[in-house]
Amino acid sequence: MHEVSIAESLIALIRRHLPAHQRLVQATVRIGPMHGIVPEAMEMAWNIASADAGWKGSRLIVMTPPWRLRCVVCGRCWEPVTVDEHCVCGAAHVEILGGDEFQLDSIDVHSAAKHRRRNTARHGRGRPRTFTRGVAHEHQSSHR
Amino acid sequence: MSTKVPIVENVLKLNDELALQNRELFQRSGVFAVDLIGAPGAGKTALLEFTLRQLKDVINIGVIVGDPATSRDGDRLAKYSRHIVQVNTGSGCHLDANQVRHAMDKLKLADLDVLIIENVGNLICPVSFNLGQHCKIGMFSVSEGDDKAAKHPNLVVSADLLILNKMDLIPYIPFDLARFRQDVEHLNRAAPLLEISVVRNQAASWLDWLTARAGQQKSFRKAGKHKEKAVARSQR
Repeated sequence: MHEVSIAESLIALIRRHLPAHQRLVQATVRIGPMHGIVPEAMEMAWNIASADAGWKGSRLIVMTPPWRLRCVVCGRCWEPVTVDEHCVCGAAHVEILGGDEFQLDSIDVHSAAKHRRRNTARHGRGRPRTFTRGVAHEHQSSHR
Repeated sequence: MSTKVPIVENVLKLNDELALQNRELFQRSGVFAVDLIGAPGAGKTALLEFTLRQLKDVINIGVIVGDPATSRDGDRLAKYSRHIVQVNTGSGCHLDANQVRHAMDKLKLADLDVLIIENVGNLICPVSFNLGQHCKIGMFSVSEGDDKAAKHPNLVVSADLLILNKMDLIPYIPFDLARFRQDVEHLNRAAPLLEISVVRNQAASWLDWLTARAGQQKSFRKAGKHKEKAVARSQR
């Protein structure tokens, strides 16, 4: 459920940034292991939420940067496998430098106007919003 | 061909904006707000019952309590205070700033010194959602096992206070207290760790912490009001 809430929040944030007459192709997020996000669950949540938002077929790229810790005693920086790993100097106090990222990095957009023109050319005039269905239909018929 | 638009903003920015509005309301009302996060069964509601009982004549405490279903926690707490709002989140696993804002509308913030937001029992999701609180409290209990702090680093790192409840069970449960303390210290040396037992009424350190922080918030507000008056006078 965590992932669904995050996907919905992402969509609201992307709407704010999506230029007029542009269609979302891809969104890239950077989420560190701190936030306990499972990329597969995030992908599933994105597929559902983005289809509801009218962006069916758009992709979500989840980048997962590693943990990066700094020992507060000797100053050594390293990338541990798990966050509870102690420094080789034996000290048990760390500062977290990386692994807590939680940001939308960028979106890839495509002109919706061009998209509509191509759609109309394929399926004849006056058939609104049939691009996705039309392509699916074409694929189906070519397989048969 | 597609075009890349760089953004670099927090994924939960919209929630953060609402949280900021909540925070302003808390500041204006002089209310010290805390977000209490812990697993189901850690003793969050029991701690609040104890707190409301003990501090009845000392400070006015309001509670927003989040649960997927039922008003059982709200009913338990309503015996001690009339400033209780139960929020049901359905399948939602956490409270967000918007839900808290709606719940705040049902409370008279001006009558309160402290608002405790008891989040949905969960050690993961609630941590990411800022509610506008002044302090975030991570609550664990001995019966959950000594590895829970290490397994939930996000809560430990972001908490301003950590509580370990059910200390009375230590003799009966294999719980390595030294290891738990070390895990907490590894990630967050700044947050105090309070070891308490609510059922044994041994939680004086928690009551002291809460009343002290509530007092600071009130004096901060008074100082702010004095300053506003002084500014108004000087502008006359």
